[in-house]
Amino acid sequence: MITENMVLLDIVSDFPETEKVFHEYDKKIGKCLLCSNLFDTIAKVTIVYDINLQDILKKLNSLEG
Amino acid sequence: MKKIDARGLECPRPVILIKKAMEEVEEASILVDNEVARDNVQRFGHNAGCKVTIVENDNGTELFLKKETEKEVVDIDEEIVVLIKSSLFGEGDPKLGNILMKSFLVSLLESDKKVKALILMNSGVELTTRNLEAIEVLKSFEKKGAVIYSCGTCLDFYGLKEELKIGLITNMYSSVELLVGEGNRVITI
Repeated sequence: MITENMVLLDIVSDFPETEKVFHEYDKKIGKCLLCSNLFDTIAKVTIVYDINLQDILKKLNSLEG
Repeated sequence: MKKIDARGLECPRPVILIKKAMEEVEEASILVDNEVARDNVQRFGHNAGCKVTIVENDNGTELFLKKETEKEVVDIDEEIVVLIKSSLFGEGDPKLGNILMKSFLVSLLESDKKVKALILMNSGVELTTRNLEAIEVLKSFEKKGAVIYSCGTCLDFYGLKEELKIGLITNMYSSVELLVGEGNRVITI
């Protein structure tokens, strides 16, 4: 299960299918989320870019496993 | 040593490849052809406690990562993080502040202390963009293994992002993590 304290790099490394979820936010934040924040946690990027934490976790976990 | 050719791959692919390689071997190299990949592989290496050497050649940029031994990791814990909050050293005449800043950087470079990172905040980002003399000194820091971080918000504020000539862009969260990192000695200018 993907949680808010997991780092983006670890998530896309362990669950490659989640990459498309992160790219969905590229337009909203105006840049490539994975390129800019690869070493940050989900919790951190949701605060920095005003992303709904529960929404992104739901999307990621619906793909994982 | 494992060698990876990641040219043509977009982030985060190169970082994922080197991450998986370093889970299996002690040393690996990766060839990349874009700045984002280079910066993120470099950052991964430092986060993972690796010594990172960067070689530019006609094919692109090759980064060599080597896991530090336990003793080397202890040494890294004793390294210095420098927080530079202004392009000038101290208050007073800007001309003197500029001279003193260059003098500080050169003196620190020539000291026997290991500098882990320099974080440039507020007008300090001029040192990584417009101040060519400072950039040359900062290049020497990089060669000695230090990572140069410029505040992204500050670069945006001063309209200097496109002029960044050295190092990586960071944010306040990552900077705080470095500043409060266990064993890091912080010097604030």
